[in-house]
Amino acid sequence: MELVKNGSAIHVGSVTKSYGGKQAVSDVTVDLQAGKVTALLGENGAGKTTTVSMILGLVTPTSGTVTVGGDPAGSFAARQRIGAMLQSAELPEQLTVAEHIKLFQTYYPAPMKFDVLVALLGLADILDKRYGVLSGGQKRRTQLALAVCGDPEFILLDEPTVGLDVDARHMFWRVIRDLVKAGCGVVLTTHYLEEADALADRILVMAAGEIVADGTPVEIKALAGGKLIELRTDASDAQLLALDGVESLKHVGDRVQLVSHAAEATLRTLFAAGCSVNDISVTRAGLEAAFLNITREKGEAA
Amino acid sequence: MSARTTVVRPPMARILFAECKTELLKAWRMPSFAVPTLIFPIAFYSMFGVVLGSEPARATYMLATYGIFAALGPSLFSFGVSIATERDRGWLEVKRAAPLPFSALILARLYMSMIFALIVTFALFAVAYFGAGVRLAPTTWLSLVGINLLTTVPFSLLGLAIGLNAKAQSAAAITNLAFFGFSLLGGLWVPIIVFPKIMQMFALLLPSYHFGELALAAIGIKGDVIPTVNIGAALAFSALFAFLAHRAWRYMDKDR
Repeated sequence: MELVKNGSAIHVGSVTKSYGGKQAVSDVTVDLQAGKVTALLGENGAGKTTTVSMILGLVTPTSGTVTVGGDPAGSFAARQRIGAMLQSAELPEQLTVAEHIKLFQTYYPAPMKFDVLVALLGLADILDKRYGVLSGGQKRRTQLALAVCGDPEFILLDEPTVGLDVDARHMFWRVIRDLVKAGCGVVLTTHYLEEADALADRILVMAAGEIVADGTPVEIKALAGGKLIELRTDASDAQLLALDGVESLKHVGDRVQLVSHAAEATLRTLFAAGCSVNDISVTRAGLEAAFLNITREKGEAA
Repeated sequence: MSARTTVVRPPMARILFAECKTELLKAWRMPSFAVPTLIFPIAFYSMFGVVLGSEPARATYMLATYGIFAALGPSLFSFGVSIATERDRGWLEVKRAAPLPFSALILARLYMSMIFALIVTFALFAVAYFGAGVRLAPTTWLSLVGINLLTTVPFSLLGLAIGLNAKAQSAAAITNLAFFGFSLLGGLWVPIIVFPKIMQMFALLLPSYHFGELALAAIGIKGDVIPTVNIGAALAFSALFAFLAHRAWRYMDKDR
């Protein structure tokens, strides 16, 4: 059974956003479906929040278009289709949790039933507390409540679980899965491959303002599982790229960085080739290193 | 192409009512808002207009100007400080992303400011009537209420411009400066006659002075300049504040 609300989608078309000449997002094109969890994975400054802000209509793209269910991002119709939980957005402290939720529900034509929402997020014991006295986890739950209370087609969560303990994080994950089962499309940004893996049907990896990988969690994990080998050598690029396991290569000063999905094999073949090698280090390739190298490599080869 | 749902807008009146109620609750539960806006005008008027020299003429004069003072407080603080704080905390972004007409946000705060101004106006009336024996024609009482309510509009716009431009900390400083500066130098606390000549000239440049003069005209006290000048200045300042607020909003919409 297809439980997709109206088959609606978020469309991001050739979108670029620059701030004073510096590109925060460059030429991103992507379609996001309802009824699925899409994770935007990347490090700080990768362009995740800017992308989310453009989908919400809070930031106007320098070029390109963003539509939500066919309507321009930021239009009334588009805003009605999206609920959002923004990074570091704090609610007014003087109001109680119930007052906050009831106010937000008036914005929507067919909001989620109050009792259903309270049960879904386990808010019963904090309803009458003022936002200002809540713990960190309770605050995040209240923010999530505002994002979902209108029963929107899409929910955008910008770094929803930062600073949460393990229990609270798992509660969040459970709620997100429940929402998706009900046909909602969820887009979340995260630093953590683990989180994207646990939740997402699809992972988009962002680095330096671009989408550098787009795949299922299994595919992305395979790519990100690599090691970063850094060394000085007289071997040619062609020789290095031919080594076992090497996926990409990049020069940093007089050193060379290799991303390999089988570091031991790479080193074995490297030494067997008899090139001069010194000053070698092997580390886990972070997301940025792994994926940036891949795109550079592709870009240069093309 | 995806099937588009038709947009159903919940009734604006319902949203506005809920926003208004929320703004009132927030303001009421925040002493840093409620004290300067509610207590100061009533306390100052009781002190300077009634206790220290309780002749009705003086109390009547000050009833007009303290009414304007009462209108300044909620407008400037609700828009200036409160919007800057909510912007700093990322709350304004959440509101902007929500399907909520921008006008509802602004109108709710304006109505809240008007309700606060109204409460204080009636409290001032009570102090004047019972404490100082002030007697005015019913239409005069009413026209004072009208002028006080109207005064909240331009000062709300000024507050909005401050709130959208300044960080929370500096917005609080600027708003306090505007609140007390306009009140004192604009002759809302004591008539500018008691000031040196240069300060009397300066008062002519302040919006608060001109609104104060209009309130005085309502109770039949002739001002320093003809009322047309006061009305013109009041309209000009309103237009300027509207322009500043609009520009601040456009600017914020573009890049952040």
